[in-house]
Amino acid sequence: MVYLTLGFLLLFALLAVLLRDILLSVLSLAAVSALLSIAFYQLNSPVAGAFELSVGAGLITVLAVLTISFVQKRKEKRQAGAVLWVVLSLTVAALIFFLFQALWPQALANVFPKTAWGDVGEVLWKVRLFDLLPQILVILAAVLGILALLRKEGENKEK
Amino acid sequence: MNLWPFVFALFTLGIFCLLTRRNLVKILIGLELLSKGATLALIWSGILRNSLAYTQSLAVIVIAIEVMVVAIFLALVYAFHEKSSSLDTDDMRRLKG
Repeated sequence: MVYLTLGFLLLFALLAVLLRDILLSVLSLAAVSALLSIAFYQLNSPVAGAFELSVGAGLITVLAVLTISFVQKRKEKRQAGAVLWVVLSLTVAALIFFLFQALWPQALANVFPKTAWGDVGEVLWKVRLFDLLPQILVILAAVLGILALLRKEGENKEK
Repeated sequence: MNLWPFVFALFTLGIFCLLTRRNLVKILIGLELLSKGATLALIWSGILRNSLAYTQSLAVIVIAIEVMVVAIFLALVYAFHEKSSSLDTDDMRRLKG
């Protein structure tokens, strides 16, 4: 079952690279993130899966679509065919998943080692505290960097 | 079961995208694919070494840093577009030296 998920993941990754329209590429990348989070869940890594789904498929997609909407004027009429392709591929992928689960339920048998949510938290806050704090600082520095980049010219002069 | 071919394929696609595309958002997509390949490699190596809790904690941090990289990259894209009204990397040559 993981092979099927990762196969679709590669298909959407290929679409993300090859599609000419950058908005559709970003949406394909969101599908890649969603499929990767399903694969993580199948690999008994629910914490990484939840993070990948919320951050990879959610936040990054929103940020990218927002930026594209600022920098690009879209020509709606020319996009209909390409949008249809992406929607069709997603529908076919979901259908194949459903059929695969219905026809071969034994394929869902999970053979990977199990981890509890608490185990990951314990490792994160106890074993890895030394590098976790600098990484929080890195994230704060990145936020300041973004604010500096998006500052309008002459903003300080007006004050 | 072996997931290394999928990791390799994701890396290949990411590097191909980085090397052949000139649109800045496409380059970001290449970076993202590389990062997703790295995260998958982390989780798979955790399964192979039976230390899934540790590698999951690493993957969580990788994802958090990934979103910061994306945010800074997109802010750069926006700032560059404000200056030059373009997303083409060829137009960035005037930044050199």
